[in-house]
Amino acid sequence: MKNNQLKDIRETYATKFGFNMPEAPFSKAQMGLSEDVVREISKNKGEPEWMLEYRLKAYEAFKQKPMPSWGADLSHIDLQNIYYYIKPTGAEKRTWEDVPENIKTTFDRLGVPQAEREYLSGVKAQYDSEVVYSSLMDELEEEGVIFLSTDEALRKHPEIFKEYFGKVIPYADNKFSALNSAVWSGGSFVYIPKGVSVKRPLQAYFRINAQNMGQFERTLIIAEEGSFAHYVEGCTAPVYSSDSLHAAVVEVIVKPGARFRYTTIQNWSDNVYNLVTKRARVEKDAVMEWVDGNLGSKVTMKYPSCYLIGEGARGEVLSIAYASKGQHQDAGAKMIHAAPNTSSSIVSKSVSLRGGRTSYRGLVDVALSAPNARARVECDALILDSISATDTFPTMRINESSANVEHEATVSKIGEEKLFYLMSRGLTESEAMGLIVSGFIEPIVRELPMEYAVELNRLIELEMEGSVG
Amino acid sequence: MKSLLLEQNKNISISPVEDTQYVYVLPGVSTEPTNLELNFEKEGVTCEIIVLGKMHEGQSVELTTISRHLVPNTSCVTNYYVALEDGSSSNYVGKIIIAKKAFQTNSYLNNKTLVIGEGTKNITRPILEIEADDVKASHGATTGRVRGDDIYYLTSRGLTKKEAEELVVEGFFESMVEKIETGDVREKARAGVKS
Repeated sequence: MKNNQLKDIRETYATKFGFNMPEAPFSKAQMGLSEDVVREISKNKGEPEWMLEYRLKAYEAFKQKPMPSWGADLSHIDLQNIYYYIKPTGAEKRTWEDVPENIKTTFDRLGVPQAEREYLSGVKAQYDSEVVYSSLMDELEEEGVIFLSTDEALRKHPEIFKEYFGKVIPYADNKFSALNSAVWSGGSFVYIPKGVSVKRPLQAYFRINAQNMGQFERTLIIAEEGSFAHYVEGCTAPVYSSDSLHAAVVEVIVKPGARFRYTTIQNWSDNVYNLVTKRARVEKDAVMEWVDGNLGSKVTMKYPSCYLIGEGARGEVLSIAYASKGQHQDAGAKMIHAAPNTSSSIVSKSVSLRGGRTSYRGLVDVALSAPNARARVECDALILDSISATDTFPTMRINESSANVEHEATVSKIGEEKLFYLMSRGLTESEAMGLIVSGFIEPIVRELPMEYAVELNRLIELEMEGSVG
Repeated sequence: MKSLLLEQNKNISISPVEDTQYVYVLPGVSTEPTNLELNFEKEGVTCEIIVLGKMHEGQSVELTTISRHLVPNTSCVTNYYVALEDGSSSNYVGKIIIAKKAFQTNSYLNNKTLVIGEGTKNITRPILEIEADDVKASHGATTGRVRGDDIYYLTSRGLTKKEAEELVVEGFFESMVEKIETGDVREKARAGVKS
């Protein structure tokens, strides 16, 4: 089988997503990181004193913490060769017409305004450091739903902001949560009031435009009792020869009986280090679902977590990773069972080809305070050629005798016999291969909003150059 | 395949030259951490690792198994079956490593933890590091308590709860013990998990 003839799904990236616009920043901090830069960001945003103090404490923690010694290779990141704050435009706009031309063109090419018209409840568009466009359907606003950039939320809803900010992920949680806490800018603030169900997804689109950019969005989501919403984020960046850094922090609070779904389609260009901390606090009988798609970036280290702290809480992670040439996807999930009768499920599917490496890294932790916990982990990896690699690093820590925990992992290449069978039925090798890979990732794709499922399927469609047989 | 009962030792490293079933019975009381590794350096060899142990009240086991495939066309199944009595614990790392040139490797790891007491602790880390394609590697790990309905059925047949539990634990190990191909090794393993 001529696996090396597989067409890379990222081959069209440069033309489709990899373009860039001339930089015309409203303001731009000097390159590199220092206390002055942290102060400048805070001053530029006109923040309250407590936030500046928080940023400075976080900056101290960042300086003290060592780089992670595990996971992907981060030794090539040059933290002083990055712009920590680039403000692209004056203020957040409510209509696309008001958004500066270059920025509007970018989002047009990415199809964001069209998607908004067709199937979304609300949109945030972030360009470098700031949210440049924002919308929410009127009826949701009337119901009390808040969907703002995190900066605007700090100005408009200071009390609720202060009550929840940094409570799920403390600034000193890890080196990159500390960095984000020091220089955060943009991101989404979502508040779903008690009992409100938001039918169509809320979407945020993150775009890096500038070279050597560091994007540090900060997202805070509160789903009140009995509410439901689905938040979707997409990310892309131009292809540059020098590295960019994306270090987000996402905190989600799911109150009793609520259900929240958070979907990510990460498609950064392969010069982006994507080092993200995502964590949800899941209360009594609440459900948190992470759907995490990692297709892009040079290096990703991201393990969405659920802290199941209320009785009957449930956490789910569906994770898909695709690593091609020069990419290392170190992704996974963490489930912390801290209350009785909690349950969790992790399904991870990864595909590596052309020298790419995928790693599943996960944790299931059952505390003594969590009798009758049930957890299930399933991770499968496909290796499509002889120069690619895959790892599985799961940990199960069970301190409660009544827990029921299952873990399964498999690694394989596409079976010759499956290909042979499909080809004997009249498919070409490339069609057969595409069908098998589609079937492999299907459990995840079917959970995506339809528009994304179509897009992902199209991306994953593996073609062969030249027909075989 | 011939079976070989391994002596207790904290560091066991073997490069198998013929198809072998390696059986290791944990003493059931706390010992130094145990490292058991098979380095496959000869092509075409198929092996099995069977580690069994019933951890007595308050005792703990720390075990690492490594199945390292360095040449093409080798196979390994690693089994770790442990039962945990009151307050006992198991800390297990099970690695499957497949090196770059080790095509046609087939490696599987199977870990089952049966909880029969209260206050137990169990850490399991099954790790796969795969550098080659055209291989099959997988692991499965489960942790669960003795099923209530099994006990109920047996007690309804006249056994005491303790006898019923002992029978379930025996059955748990027997599913592995019966796979041991050499008679005297099988008998020693069976006796080892009874005490």
